[in-house]
Amino acid sequence: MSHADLTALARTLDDALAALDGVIAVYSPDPAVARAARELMAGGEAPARTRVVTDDERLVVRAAIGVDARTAAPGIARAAARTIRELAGGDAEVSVSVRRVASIPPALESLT
Amino acid sequence: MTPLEPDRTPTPPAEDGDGDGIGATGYDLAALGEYLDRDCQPPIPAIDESPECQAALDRLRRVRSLSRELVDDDARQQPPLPVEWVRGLLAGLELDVRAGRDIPFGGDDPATRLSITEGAVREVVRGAGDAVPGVLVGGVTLDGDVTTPGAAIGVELRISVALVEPIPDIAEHVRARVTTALLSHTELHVTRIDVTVDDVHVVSREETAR
Amino acid sequence: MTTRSPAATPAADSLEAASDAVLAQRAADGDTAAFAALVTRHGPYLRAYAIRLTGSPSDADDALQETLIAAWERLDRLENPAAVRAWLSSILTRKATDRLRARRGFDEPIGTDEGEHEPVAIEAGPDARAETGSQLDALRRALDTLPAVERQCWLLREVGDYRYDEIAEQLGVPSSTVRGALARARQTLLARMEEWR
Repeated sequence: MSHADLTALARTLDDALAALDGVIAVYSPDPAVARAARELMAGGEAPARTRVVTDDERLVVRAAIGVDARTAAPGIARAAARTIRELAGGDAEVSVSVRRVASIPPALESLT
Repeated sequence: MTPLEPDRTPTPPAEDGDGDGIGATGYDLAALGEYLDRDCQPPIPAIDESPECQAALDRLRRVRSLSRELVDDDARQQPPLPVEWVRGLLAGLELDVRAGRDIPFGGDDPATRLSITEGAVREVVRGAGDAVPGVLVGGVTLDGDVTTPGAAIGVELRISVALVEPIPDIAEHVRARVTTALLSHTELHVTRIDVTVDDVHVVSREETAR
Repeated sequence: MTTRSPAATPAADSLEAASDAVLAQRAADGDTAAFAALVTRHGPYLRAYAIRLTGSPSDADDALQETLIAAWERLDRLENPAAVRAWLSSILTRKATDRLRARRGFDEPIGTDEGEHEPVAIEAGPDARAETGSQLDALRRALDTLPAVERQCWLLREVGDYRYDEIAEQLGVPSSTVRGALARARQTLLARMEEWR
């Protein structure tokens, strides 16, 4: 897949994860890397948060999410992984990390 | 450190101009200031027994306490920090510094790795404790190897309470809520929940409404 | 299976009323709302102190922002959460004096006002009667007449409680300069406070 394809997939994943029941935020799995990327783009479109790279033809997807405390976190993480596989293919290597378990959406913090 | 100008030995003038220092003790205001800065130790009888020196020391103490009051007063006259400024500051904070260890969720697919961060679990505990009427959770500690599934984990909470109930009952409610929340959100094998009451706070309107 | 675990975020007024220790512990665990409460509570004091120290509201704001960002990162290393204000003040002092040293550069003599910003407010001269008669205002006026390095040494010693060698290190001057500045500041302030009594 081309770099553009990977970026497009990452954005699609961001949207799909955000739409899941119980997911209140989608984060970058490597904030330091994301921040550096943001600075490089300075003023351009915000980069996708979910990380999609290829490793020897295989897709590697890393996602980080924030969840609503009213729904059990493991279940949401599993649903997220299923969603990622539906979109990235059964071969992909998938990791999902739950970073926040909040009772309100994190209104005061940036998602980037 | 290289001085940027020749060392200047302080030559403070004697307060009464006759070169004998304050109260003819030979100690001038600069010396008294340094004596005060040393908390008047070791004691110098010539100063301690001189009414003029004591008066000067009192004035120095007075100006010192006024200086502290001054900054407090400046602070009171400051407008509150703009909400947008605080918001912007929070938005820029590196949230990941609190993530801590990755705590795995089980699964049989080697190509899928699911986890929750320690920071998120602390948030779970905090939220559960906060939900008990009269309780405000302070610090949360997870004790044990959270990265190994099945390892015995201890949870320690420090809480501030409003005395809406006897403390042991409050602690019991906290333990129950934390247990439920951890069962829901983690697969940790929690063997101990220690609740320590750090202080007592005033009941807020919100707490009495619960 | 979903579980209803009624998670609750404390109302804003609960956090506002919470002790420094509780807020600092929560913030150290990652609670941004608790950190916001600390910022709201201590921000004005820190800002006021920074303005007095640097003589410049914009430098003060920059120092304050840097302080709070650094504080967030180091909060989990704060050993005594109840002492969070003093801890914040010490970070702020470092950020503010970093600016003072940077402002001064390497070629300017210490103790002159060249290159130093003037104090924020210069009120009526020493011959005017203080309008309010308040001792605080008298001190304010007197402080404003001090040369910058004397004012800085004074604040760091009398309000910040730093030792001479610490002040010397923070300001980038020899200890003897600090002692001389304090001696002159004491002389001036006591004399002016007398005049306005």
